[in-house]
Amino acid sequence: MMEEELRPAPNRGGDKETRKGEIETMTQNLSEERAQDSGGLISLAGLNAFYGEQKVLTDITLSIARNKITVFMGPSGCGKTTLLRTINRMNDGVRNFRVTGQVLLDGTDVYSPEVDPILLRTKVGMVFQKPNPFPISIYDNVAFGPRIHKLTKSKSELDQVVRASLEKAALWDEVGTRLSKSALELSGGQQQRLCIARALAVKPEVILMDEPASALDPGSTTRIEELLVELKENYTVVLVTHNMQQAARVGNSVAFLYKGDLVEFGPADEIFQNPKNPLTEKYIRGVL
Amino acid sequence: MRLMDMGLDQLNSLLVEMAQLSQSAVSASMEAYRRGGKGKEVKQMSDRLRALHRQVSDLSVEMIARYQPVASDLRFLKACMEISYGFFRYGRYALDIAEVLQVFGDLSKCDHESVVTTAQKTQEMIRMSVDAFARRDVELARKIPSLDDAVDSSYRDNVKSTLQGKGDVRCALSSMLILRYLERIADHATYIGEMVEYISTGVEPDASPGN
Repeated sequence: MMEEELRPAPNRGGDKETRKGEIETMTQNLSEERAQDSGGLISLAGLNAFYGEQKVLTDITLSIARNKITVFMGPSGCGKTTLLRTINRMNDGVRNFRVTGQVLLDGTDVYSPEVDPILLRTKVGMVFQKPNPFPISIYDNVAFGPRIHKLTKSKSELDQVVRASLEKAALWDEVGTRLSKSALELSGGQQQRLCIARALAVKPEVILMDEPASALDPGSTTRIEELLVELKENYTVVLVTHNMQQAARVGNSVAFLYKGDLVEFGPADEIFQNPKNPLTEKYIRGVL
Repeated sequence: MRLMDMGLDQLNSLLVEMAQLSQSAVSASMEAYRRGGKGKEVKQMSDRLRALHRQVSDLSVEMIARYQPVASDLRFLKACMEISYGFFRYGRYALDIAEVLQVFGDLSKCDHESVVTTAQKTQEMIRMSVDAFARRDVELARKIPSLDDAVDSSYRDNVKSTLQGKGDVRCALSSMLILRYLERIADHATYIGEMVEYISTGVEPDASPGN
C-alpha cells in the first residue's frame, strides 16, 4: 500500500544520508587534485603588454600550477593568446611589442637579459592552432629540435627520443612503421599530435597550446583532449581556448580574460558552476 | 533570447504547475482527514505529479545534452530536478495519507488535534517553499527550517505516546502514520528551500550528518 521512496529523501530528523552525485569527470576528481596542488611553476606578476601605444594586457597576476592544465579563456581579442605567448617570449619578434612586470619560470624572470629565448623555448614548448608540421618526414619533424639543440649523442639515442616522443603524443601506433613518409600525408589530427611530439622531443617542462583542437573534427579533438590529460602527469600545460566545454573537460584551473584584464581565476569546477564575477557568469552563459 | 531560455521557461512553467498541484494534493488529503472523507481525488493529483516530474527530468537531461549549460543555468537545472522531486513527493505523501483514511475507515472519534496542528505547520512550510521558488526568495527559503523542528517533535512525541500503548489502536496508528508522512513532507520543504538558495547563491545544501 505505502510506496517506498524512489530514492533516499532528505532526512532532517537524524539519520541523514550524505547526498552524492556531483559531476566527476572520467579522468579526474578536481577537488582531490586541488588538495594535492603541487605549487606554482610559473608566476605572472603585474604583467602588462603593449603593441606600440596600445595596452593589451593589464596588471595580470596569477600562478600556474605544476603538472596541471591551466586554461586561458575569453572572447576574441581579450589578450589570451598574447598572454600565452609572453610565457616563452614568442612575441619578441613582433614589432613594437613590449611587456612590463614579471614572468617567472621556476623563480627566474624569463625577460631578464641573462635568459636566452631560444633555450627558454626548449623548456617552454608551444603548439599552435593550425597544425604546422615541416614539409619533411615524420621522423625528421620530431628529430628537428633534438638535432639543432644537440640534445642527443648518437643516432640510436635520437631514434629513442623520436619513438618516446611519438608514444607520449599517442601517435607511435599509427606512424611507427612509416616514419620516413612525409608529415604532410598525415590527417589534421595526426599532424597536430606530431606537432605535440615535436614539442616533447626537446624535453620541455611546460607546453603552451593555442587552440590546439579548434581546426580538428570531434574525434581528433577527443584524442587531443585525452592526450592533454595524460601529458599533465609529466608536464605543465597552459591551454588557450574559447571552447568552454573543452576548458571544462580538461582544465584544472581557468583564467577568464576580458579586454586585457584578468577577471577571474580559479578551479575549473568553481568557474563553471559558480563563478564569482558577473562578467564571467555572462561570458560562459553566452550572454556577454 | 537564447535557445536555452525557451527550455528554461518551459521548466519553470512545469514546476509552477507542480507547486500548485502538490499544495492542493496535501490540502485535499488533510481536508479529508478533518472532515472524515476518503481523499479519493488525491490519487489523480499524485499521478499527474509523477508525470510532471518525469517531464521535468526528461527536459532537464535534454537541455544538458543540447546546450551544455554552465553557471546559474546549470545550477537552475540541477535544482529543478531536485525541486521537482520534492513536489512529486508532496503529492505521493498526500496519497499515502489518503490511503490511511481509506484503510483505517472512520476516524471521527480520534483526537485530531496533534495531527491538525502539525499539518498546519507542514502546509505553511509547503506554502513557503512554493513561494520561495516562485519568487526566488532566498530570505523566505531560509525561514523554512525554523518550522521543521516543531514537526519533527510532534512526530517523535506521537511515537513515544503510541509505544506506551494508551488509547485506541486505530487512532494511534493512523495518527502516527499521518504524522510520519507530514514529517517527511516537511523535510522535502526544507530541502526545496535549500535548493532555492542554491540557485541564487551556488551554496550547496549541507549534507553532513545531523543536518
